Amino acid sequence: MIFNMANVCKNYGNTEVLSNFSTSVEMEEVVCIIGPSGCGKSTILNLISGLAEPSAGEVANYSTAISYVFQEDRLLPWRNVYENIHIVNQNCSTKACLSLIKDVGLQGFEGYYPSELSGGMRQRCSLARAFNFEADLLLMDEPFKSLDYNLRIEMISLLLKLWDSTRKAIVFVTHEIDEALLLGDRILLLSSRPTKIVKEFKITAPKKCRKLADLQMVQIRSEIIKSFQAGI
Amino acid sequence: MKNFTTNRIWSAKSKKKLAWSGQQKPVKLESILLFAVILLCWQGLSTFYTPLVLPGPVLTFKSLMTIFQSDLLFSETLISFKRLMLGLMGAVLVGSVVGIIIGLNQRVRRLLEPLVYFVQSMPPILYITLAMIWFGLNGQATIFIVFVASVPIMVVNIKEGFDNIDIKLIQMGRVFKFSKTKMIREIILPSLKAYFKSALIIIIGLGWKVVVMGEVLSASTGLGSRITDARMNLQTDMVFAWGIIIILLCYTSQKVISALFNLSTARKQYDL
Repeated sequence: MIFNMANVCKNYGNTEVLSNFSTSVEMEEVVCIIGPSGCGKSTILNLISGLAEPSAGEVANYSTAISYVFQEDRLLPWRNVYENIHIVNQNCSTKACLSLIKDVGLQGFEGYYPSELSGGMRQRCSLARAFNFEADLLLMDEPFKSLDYNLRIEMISLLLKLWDSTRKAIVFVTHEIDEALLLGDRILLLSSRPTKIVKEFKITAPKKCRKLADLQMVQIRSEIIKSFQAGI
Repeated sequence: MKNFTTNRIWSAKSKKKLAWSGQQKPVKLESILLFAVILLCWQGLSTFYTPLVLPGPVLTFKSLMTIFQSDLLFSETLISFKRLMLGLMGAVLVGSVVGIIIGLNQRVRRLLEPLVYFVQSMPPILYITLAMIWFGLNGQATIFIVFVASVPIMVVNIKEGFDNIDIKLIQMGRVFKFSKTKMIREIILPSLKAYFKSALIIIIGLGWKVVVMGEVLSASTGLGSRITDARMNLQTDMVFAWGIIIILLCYTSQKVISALFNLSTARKQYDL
């Protein structure tokens, strides 16, 4: 186990966001979190990363370090692509860093500044930065939210490729059911506030050869949609 | 590495080329036209008055040439420049330190912020008068008034810079375990850079005005004292000529500061 949350409560003022929330993540596991807007998905990631403290309960983190792909790219505007990726791990050799840049398809843009890149390119840079940071747990907060469908599919296969070579445990927050189906070993379906896990789905098919038309995928998709329609 | 360095150079060159072609030219032409219209109006108005009241551009230009040919220009500018720099250096040092402390500590902010706004609200003539009483009629009073006029601007700008640091970048730094030094070097200082630059441009412009004003009232040397001399000798054309020199110095200083900051940014692009 790399991370465990037991009976965690989180309040912002009088608003109860999480109530007795418990979950855990195993090594090399990809856990996708789906839920209605404002249910506290990002709060869960902030609690895991230590950016927020729980109001009650226990958050146990067994990872050596945590990496994060934020909703927005959060790149340093005054650093170029190479520097933004290299800065989080200065022990990383130039060759390794350039190879990572190549992997995310930004070869030739190493000297470009974030303002000179498109949204998709910035997000790819942010992904490369997260993978360059030496951590065994990666948190991803709707990282492909602002991208169009084609780019999102491209980014998912890129993420799978990077995950395959590093095998980091990933907690992936998303609104997109398809993203969760293609990436997750487990999908946690959350309720609206105060947030609880409504359902948990396990996907056994290997990530590389998953197709959205597979029977298991169709069944899970249909159950998630039904839950949303029932007003979780 | 070579590959993307070349890309950057190409990109910078192409931007430079774009900046000098197309849209830039009409702006320059307009500026020249505006300048010509001002000169014509000035010439026209000067025909209605005696040179004692309003000297024309030709007479002013002749006086300007006289100043350029004399040793006075260099020596007096140097004196004023030294006073300006001493006052400004003090202001940058004190203003930056106070601004950073105010930015970092809410308690100190609550304590010092009213004081900063109090000093900023003081009319310049008040602290010129006080400086003349405290330091007498010499250059020290001028240095003091440049310092007092510039410190609040520096403090307020640095404080604004702190208030506008992107908290999301700070969180990013915390997640990726940036050390305190790295956080300051990579996030805080670059975030403050634009505010620091803007404060410097404002205080150098204000500094020239205040230094001349201080010299007119309290000193027997420096550019301001030349204006006083010219006024006493009823040489209005010389007042105009020294005025033009001061305007040029003020404008050039602001441009130099701006160019230095742009140069530091441009150099960073080729670091790799």
